[in-house]
Amino acid sequence: MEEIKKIARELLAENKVQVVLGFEKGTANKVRPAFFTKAEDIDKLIYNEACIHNIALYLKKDTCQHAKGVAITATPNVVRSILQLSAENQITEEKIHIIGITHEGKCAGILDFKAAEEFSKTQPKGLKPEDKALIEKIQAMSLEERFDYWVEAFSPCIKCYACRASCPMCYCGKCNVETNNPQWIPVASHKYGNVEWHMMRAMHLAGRCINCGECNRSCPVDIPLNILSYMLSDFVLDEFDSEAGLNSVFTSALSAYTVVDKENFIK
Amino acid sequence: MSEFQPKIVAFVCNWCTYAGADLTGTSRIKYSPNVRIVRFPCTGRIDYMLLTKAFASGADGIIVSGCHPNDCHYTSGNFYARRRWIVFKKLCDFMGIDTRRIVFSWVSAAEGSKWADIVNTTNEEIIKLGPYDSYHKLSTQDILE
Amino acid sequence: MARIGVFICHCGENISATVDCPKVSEVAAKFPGVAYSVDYKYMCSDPGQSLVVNAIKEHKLTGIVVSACSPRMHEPTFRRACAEAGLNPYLCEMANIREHCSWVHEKGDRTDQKAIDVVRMMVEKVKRNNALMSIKVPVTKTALVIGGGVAGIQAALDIANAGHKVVMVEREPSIGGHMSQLSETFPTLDCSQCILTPRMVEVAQNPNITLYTYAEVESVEGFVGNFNVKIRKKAKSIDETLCNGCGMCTTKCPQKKIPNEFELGMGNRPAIYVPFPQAVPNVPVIDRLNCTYYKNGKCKICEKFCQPKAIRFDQEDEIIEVAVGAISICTGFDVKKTDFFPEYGYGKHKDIIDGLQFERMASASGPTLGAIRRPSDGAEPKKIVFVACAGSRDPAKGIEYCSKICCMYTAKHAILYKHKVHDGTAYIFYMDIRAAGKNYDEFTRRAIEEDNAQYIRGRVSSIYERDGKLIVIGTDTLMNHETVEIEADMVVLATAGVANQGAEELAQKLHVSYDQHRFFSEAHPKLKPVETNTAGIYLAGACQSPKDIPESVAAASGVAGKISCLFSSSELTREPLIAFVDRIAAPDYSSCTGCFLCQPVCPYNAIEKEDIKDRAGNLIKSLAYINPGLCQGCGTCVAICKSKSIDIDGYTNQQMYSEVDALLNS
Ligand SMILES: Cc1cc2nc3c(=O)[nH]c(=O)nc-3n(C[C@H](O)[C@H](O)[C@H](O)COP(=O)(O)OP(=O)(O)OC[C@H]3O[C@@H](n4cnc5c(N)ncnc54)[C@H](O)[C@@H]3O)c2cc1C
Ligand code: SF4
Ligand code: SF4
Repeated sequence: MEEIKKIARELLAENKVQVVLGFEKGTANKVRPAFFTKAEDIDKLIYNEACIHNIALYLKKDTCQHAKGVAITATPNVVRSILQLSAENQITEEKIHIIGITHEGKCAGILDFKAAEEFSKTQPKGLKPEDKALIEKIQAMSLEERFDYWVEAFSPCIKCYACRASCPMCYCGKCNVETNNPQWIPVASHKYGNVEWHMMRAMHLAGRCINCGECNRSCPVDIPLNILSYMLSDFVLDEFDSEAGLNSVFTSALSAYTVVDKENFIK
Repeated sequence: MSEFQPKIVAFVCNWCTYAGADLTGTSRIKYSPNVRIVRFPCTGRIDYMLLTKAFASGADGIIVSGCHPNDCHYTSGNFYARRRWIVFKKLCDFMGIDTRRIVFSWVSAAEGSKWADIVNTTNEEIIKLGPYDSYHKLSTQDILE
Repeated sequence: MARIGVFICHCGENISATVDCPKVSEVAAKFPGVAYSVDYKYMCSDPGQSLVVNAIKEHKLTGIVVSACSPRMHEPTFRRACAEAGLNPYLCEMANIREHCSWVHEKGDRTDQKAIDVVRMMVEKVKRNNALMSIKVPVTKTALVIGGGVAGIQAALDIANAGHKVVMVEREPSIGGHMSQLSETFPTLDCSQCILTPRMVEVAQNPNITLYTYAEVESVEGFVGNFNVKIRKKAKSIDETLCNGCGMCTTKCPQKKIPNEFELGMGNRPAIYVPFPQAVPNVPVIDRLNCTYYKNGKCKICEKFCQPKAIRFDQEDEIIEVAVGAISICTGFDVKKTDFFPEYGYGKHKDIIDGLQFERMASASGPTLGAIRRPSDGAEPKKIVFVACAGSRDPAKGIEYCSKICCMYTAKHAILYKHKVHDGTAYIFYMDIRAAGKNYDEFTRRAIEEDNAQYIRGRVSSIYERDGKLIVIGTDTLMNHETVEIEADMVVLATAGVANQGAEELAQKLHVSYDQHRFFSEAHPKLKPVETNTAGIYLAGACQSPKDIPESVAAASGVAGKISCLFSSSELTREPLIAFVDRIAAPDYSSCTGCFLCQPVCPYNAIEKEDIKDRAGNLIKSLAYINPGLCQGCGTCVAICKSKSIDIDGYTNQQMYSEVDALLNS
C-alpha cells in the first residue's frame, strides 16, 4: 500500500500526472472511487479487498479526459479494461500511468502497456466457478425453460441503465437504446423491450467484455446479465481464439474473420 | 384455409440470393408464397437487430441468405456476416430464442432451385413448429400487462 | 407529407394471370401516404412510362413504387422515368411481384396477399428514401503501370496509344521481365527477344510514356481517378542523361565474377553492368554491394573510362511524386528454385536445373550461346529428363494449384533439345498434359510425334547422383505403376510458378487483396478478371496467377481498355449508394466514438480517420470518415457499428427497419 502511495505521490508531485484515480474511504465502512489531484491528498488513497469497482470506467470521464496525465490504481480487471480501451482507440498510452495491483493485492509498480499485456496474461482470468455453474445450468434447460428463465430474469429490469453506466466498454456517447429514428429498442421496460435491450447489450459486448462483473454488481434488481457477455466471451475465445483485454492494439473478434470459420448451421 | 400459414421473412443479399430468387422465377419453379424478401446490398449489411425485429413484427420464421464463402460481391462481407451469425446464434440459443426458426443459407445467383428448396423446407419446418407465439406475445400482449 | 404513387404492372399476363393486379392496386391506394395507385398492362412500355411520368407531375408525387419485375431488370428504366418527370431518380423503388411472386406461386389469395405485402413494404421504404445525387469525381488521365514485363509493356503501349499519359515503374535496371530471358516461345517457336525487343524500344520512345527503371513504388494514397504515388528511383550511380550506352565501363570494371542474375547464375557480370545486351534503357547501373569502390573506397576505374563523364558515385535515391488516375499491376511471377526440392537433392547437383535456366541455355545469346551443356562438365547431355509439375499440384508442398505454363514449355524444351542434340533422348515425367489453347495440343503432339519426346505418366520420387550420372527414380502409372529408373546426364525441373517476391508488400501498399499464394486477387473470377477490388486498380499478366504470354498480353490489353474507358471523360460518375458516418454539431461532432472497429471490415479500405481539431490545432476527437471515392456500398460497416453512427444510402437503417416493420401491419 505504501508503495502505491509513494508512486502516486511522486507522479503528482513531478506533475507527470494531474489526476490519480483510485479509492478512498467512504461512508459506512465502505470504499468509493476517487480522483486525487494533489500530492498531499494521497494520504487518503486506499486499496483493500473492498476496492473491487472497475474504475477504468472513469478514464473516459471529463476529469481524466482533460488531464494531460492520469495515474490509476489498477487491479487485473482494470488493467484488462485499459488494454481493451486502448485497443478500441479510446485512450492512449502516453497519458495513462498504470499502477498495477496483482490479484493478491500486491503492488506491481508502474506498468507500460507492454508490461500491462504481460501482467494481464499472467493474472488469473476466465470465468469464476459460480458463473460457469450458472451458465451450465441454463444450458442444461430446455429451449422453453431457457426462454422463460430469461424473460423472468429480465422482467424486474427497470431500464435504469446502471449496467451500462458501470461498464467501461459502454462508452458510446449516444447509446443505441436511445435512438428513436428508428426506435430499435422499445423505451418501456416491458418484457419485450427488456429482452431486446439485454440481447443488444450482450451482442455489443461479444468479444469485448473483460469479465469484471461490474454490470451485475451495479444492477439494483440483481439480474445475472453478466452471464450473457461472459458466455459469449468464453465462446469467442474457444471459437475464434480471441480474448478481450490482453492486447493494447486492435483486436476484435467481430471485426475479423477467417476463411475457415467453423459453423454447422448454414445450409 | 384454417391451416396455419407461417409468415417468413427472408433477408438476402442483392448479388447472389436475390438474383438466385430471380432465377427461380425465370425458371418458373414453384414455392410457398409465405415468404417476404427483403433486399440488402450484402449479407454484411444485415443487422441482427432486424432479425429480432422481424420476430417482433410477427414473423414465425426467418431466412438469411447470401453469397457462398469466397463468392461475395464485396469479397468479404459474407465472412464478417458469418462470424456475426455464429455469435448471434450462440446468444439466441442461450437465451432460448428458437433458432430452428432462423435458417441461414448460401444461395448463389445460379441456385434458383436451391432457393425454392430453402423456402419450402423452412415453410414446412415452421408449420411443424407452429406460430412463434412466445416471442410475439412478448411484443404485443405483454406490453399491455 | 409523403405522396407516394404505386404502379402495378400486369406484365402482359405474366403477373396478372396469377396476381389480381386491380385488387392489389385498390388495396395499395389505401396505404397511408399513397396518393395515387394504378395498374397497367405494360408499365415498362412507352405509354406505361408516360403514365408514370404524367402521374408524378399531375399528383405531385414524392416517391414511387413500381410493382413489376425484378429491380435487377427495370430499376434503371423507372429511375430514368422519375428523372424525366423531375423527381429525383433515387425516390423510386421496385416491388418484385413477377420473379418473386407471380412466376413462383399458384394463383390464389395467399399470392395476392404476398403481392400486397411486398408493395406495402416498398411503400414504407420509399417514404424514407432520400433524394441522392450521383457522385462525381475528377479523373487524372495518367496511368501508372507497375512492372515492365510483357504484360506491363502491352498495357503501357495500349494506354499510351489511346492518347493518355503513362508512368511505368520497373524494379530491375531494364524492362522486359521473364520474356526477355526466354529462348523461343511456344506454340510457334519464334524467338522471344526478336518479338519483344521492338516493343521494349517502343516503350522507351513513346512520348506518352515516362519510364522509371531501377525504381519501386514507395507509397500510394487516394482513390480511383485520384491516386498520389511516390516512386523511389534507386541510385544507378549514373547520370542517365549523359550516358550514351557505349558500355566501356562494363568492360573495364575489375569485378568480373559476380553471378549474373539474368543468366540465373550460369554466367558472370561486372559490378557496373547492363543486365542483357538488348536492355531498355541501355544504361548501366553500379551494383553497390559488389563494387570495389563502395567496398574499399578505392577504384573508380569506370569513371576514368567513361567518356561522357556520366558516372555519379554520390548519387542518392530519388523520390518522385506522380498523380495518376488508374494503376495497373503487372509485376509478374517467379519460379521456385531447385533448392526447394529435398527429394531432388536440394539444388546441390549442378546438372539439375530449372526451366528458366534451360531457357537461357537454349538461347543463342545465353551463357552457352545456345548449346545444351551439362553445367558440371560442359558435356552434351545425351539423356535428359524433364520433370513437369515440380512442386505444382502438390498440397504437401503448399502449392496445390497447376502452374499452367509448364506442360507447354516442357514440350518446347524437349523440342528445342532434340533440335540441338539430334542423337539425344528426352524423357518427360508428367501428371497430365494440359495443353488447352489454340495450337497447343498440336504442339505437344509434335514433341511426341516428330521429336520423339518420351512421355512417362508418373511422378519422380527421387534423383541422386551415381558415377557422374543422375539417377531418376519415378513410376509409370500407365504401366502398372512400375518403377522407372533413368540414368540421365541432365535433369530439368519445371518448377512451380509462384508469386513474385515483394508481391505482398506491394498489395498492402495498394490496399488490394491477394490470395493465400500471394498472387493478386481479381475482383470477380469470371466477370471482373482484370479488376481488383479497389476501384481504379487493375491487374494484368502473371502477377494474378501463372499465365503464358498470349494470356498476359490479352489481360494487359483488357486493362488498357478498362483504363481508357475510365479516362474517356474527365469526371467519373458513381452510384451514390454508399455509406457515411453521421456528423452533428459541436461538442459531439458525431455519434461515432472513434473505436475504429469498423475500419478493418471494409473490403475497400474506405474508412479513414478524420481528426477534429480546435482552432489552436489541438485534437478534440478522431472520427471515422468514409471516403466516398472508395466505398462500394456493401454496408458491412453499418452492421458492425455499435453506436449506429454509420448508415448507408439506399439501405438506411430507417428504410430497412420500416420494411420489416411493415410486416406487422398485415
Ligand atoms: C521456363 C519458362 C518458359 C516459358 N516459356 C513460355 C513460352 O514459350 N511461351 C509463352 O507464352 N510463355 C512462356 N512462359 C511464360 C512467360 O514467361 C510469362 O507469361 C510472362 O513472362 C508473363 O509476363 P508478365 O509481364 O506478367 O510477368 P514478368 O515477365 O514476370 O514481368 C514482371 C516484371 O515486373 C517487374 N516487377 C516485379 N515486381 C515489381 C515491383 N514491385 N515493382 C516494379 N516492378 C516489378 C519485374 O522486374 C518484371 O520486369 C515461360 C515461363 C517460364 C518460367
Ligand atoms: S463509425 Fe462506429 S464502428 Fe466506426 S469508429 Fe465510429 S463508432 Fe466505431
Ligand atoms: S459500406 Fe462497405 S465499402 Fe462502404 S465503407 Fe462500409 S464497409 Fe467499406
